Amino acid sequence: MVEQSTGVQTGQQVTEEYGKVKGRTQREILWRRFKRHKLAMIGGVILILLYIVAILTPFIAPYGYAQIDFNALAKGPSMNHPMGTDELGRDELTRVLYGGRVSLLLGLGVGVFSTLIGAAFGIVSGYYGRFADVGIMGLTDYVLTLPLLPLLIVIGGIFQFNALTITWVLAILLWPTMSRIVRGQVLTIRDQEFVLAAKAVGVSGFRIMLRHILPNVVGAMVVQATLTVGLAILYESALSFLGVGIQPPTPSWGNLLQDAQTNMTSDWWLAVFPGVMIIITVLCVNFLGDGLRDALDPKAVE
Amino acid sequence: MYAYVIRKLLFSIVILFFASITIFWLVSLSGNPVTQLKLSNPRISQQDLQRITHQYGLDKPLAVQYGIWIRDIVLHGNFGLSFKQNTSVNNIIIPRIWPTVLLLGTALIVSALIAIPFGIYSAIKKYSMVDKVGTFFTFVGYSMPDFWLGLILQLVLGIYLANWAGVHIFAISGMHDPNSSGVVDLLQHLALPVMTLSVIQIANYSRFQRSAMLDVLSSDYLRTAWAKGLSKRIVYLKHALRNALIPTITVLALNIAYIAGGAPIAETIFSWPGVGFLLVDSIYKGDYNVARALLLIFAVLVVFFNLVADIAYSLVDPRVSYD
Repeated sequence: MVEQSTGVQTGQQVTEEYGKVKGRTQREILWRRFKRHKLAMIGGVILILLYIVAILTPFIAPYGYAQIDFNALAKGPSMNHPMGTDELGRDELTRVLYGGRVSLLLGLGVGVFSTLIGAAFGIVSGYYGRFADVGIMGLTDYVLTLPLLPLLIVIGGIFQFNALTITWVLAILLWPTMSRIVRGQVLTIRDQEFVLAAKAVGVSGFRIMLRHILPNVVGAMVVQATLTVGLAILYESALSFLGVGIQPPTPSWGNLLQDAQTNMTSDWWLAVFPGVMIIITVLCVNFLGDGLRDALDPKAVE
Repeated sequence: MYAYVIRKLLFSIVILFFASITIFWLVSLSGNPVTQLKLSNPRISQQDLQRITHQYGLDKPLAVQYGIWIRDIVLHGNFGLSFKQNTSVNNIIIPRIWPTVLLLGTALIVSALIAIPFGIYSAIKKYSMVDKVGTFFTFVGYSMPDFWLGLILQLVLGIYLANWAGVHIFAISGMHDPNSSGVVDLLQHLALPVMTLSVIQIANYSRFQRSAMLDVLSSDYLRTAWAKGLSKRIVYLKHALRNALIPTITVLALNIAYIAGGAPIAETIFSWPGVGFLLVDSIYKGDYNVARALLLIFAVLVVFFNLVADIAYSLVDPRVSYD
């Protein structure tokens, strides 16, 4: 206060005032860029709604998922049953809601776990180079060699997946792309001055990776993680559709579609609605990923 | 250059070796087929069981079994005996190869022929209406489960079109009608599975072609071409297209193995008698020796086309280094 009255401003005050007028934090810049991507905004909002609905399903579902309405066996969409009923008189909307719960949580789980595995491998391999790099990239190439869908079909056929095991298996098979992307990013960062400076003052390798390198690759990770969520939902539904994924009575969008096949010619609604839900979800995930990629692209100009 | 190819080749063989061990071990976890035989037929004699166990080589340690399995495949192209059918795995797989090659080949050609011109057009007319609508639909294509697309095509074009409009263009299952073997009949059966496989590939390639073309369009040598006063046609088709096709062709090669991985779904929905349907079917039947052989074949395909794409890329693009 005293300094102000003298009319002389210190350097710090100038910066502060300048900051009040014009400056934007990194986060604000990203948010402004992201907001301009309309489809990504819409995708993000719909996804959040879908996840809220998934969490609240037991409270908002109109019927129990195995509850039978004897007055409506295999009936098309109506006021009582907006998505119709199956041949046992079970409400399709309720089953789609419960199925979505499984599919959405599984997608999120695979996204998180494959990101953790892939990012850890990618950072170590990119930062240390040499033997770590050769070993980890060899492992990555090896996993990418395994024919994904046929392999999943065989594993599912032998072991009978449930929602939890399929999450693990998908996470274990889907991390290599993430690790390649992260490694590529780390390679461009690890020789920059700030990493060198950290090394010079004696920061440990683990801490450099965690505090100095990780924040710089988070952008690319988030984009890839988003896309993995969509991929996981698609793989789960394909496996359940073939009968080697999540087993009934646990409903998932994939095994609802498998059920739908039996009387598809007459009960078209059973084939349409779960599929539309998969498309909407994965579409939103992909739009979100696209918007994040644009927002996080360091080359983009404001 | 040769050193590069040889190193890649050796690396591929090492990777395949590990993949083959994984596949063999994984399938062996399905349990002993002879024990299952005993469960399904309790009156089978002990001698018969021993004879069958010996015939499949199941009395040897797992590592030895693997050694024999891989030796027979590499040296004699022999995939062993089926667990469920009284014949060799080769006899089961070989008739299934041609239908899959036909299906995947057609799907690949159809999707490339549609996607490449479309991608180039949307790059040239960037942000036009066509480009925007195209972009939206490629996103939908990406996000659509292929089996659902197959189901809906089967329902709408196969069943409803025939039942309600009386138009019998598309067949919904198999490769041929029982009493017909003509080309028209084949095309009628081929149409829906090809569509199922193509839509997603079209979305994939057209995005790729668009961004490759955009990269080239903003390059310096193209500005030179414009500055020389060359016509649009020459600039686009002669200068831009050649370079813009390189990445797409690589992706096409890489994707052959990927599309092959998607074959089980399209083939199962339309009962197409190929290897993909065979894989799913052998899992249902518990014929794990067939599944094991098919997994290995799929893995070889992935590695092979990766190698081809790598080498083709380095041949076509002189900027790729061989280190």
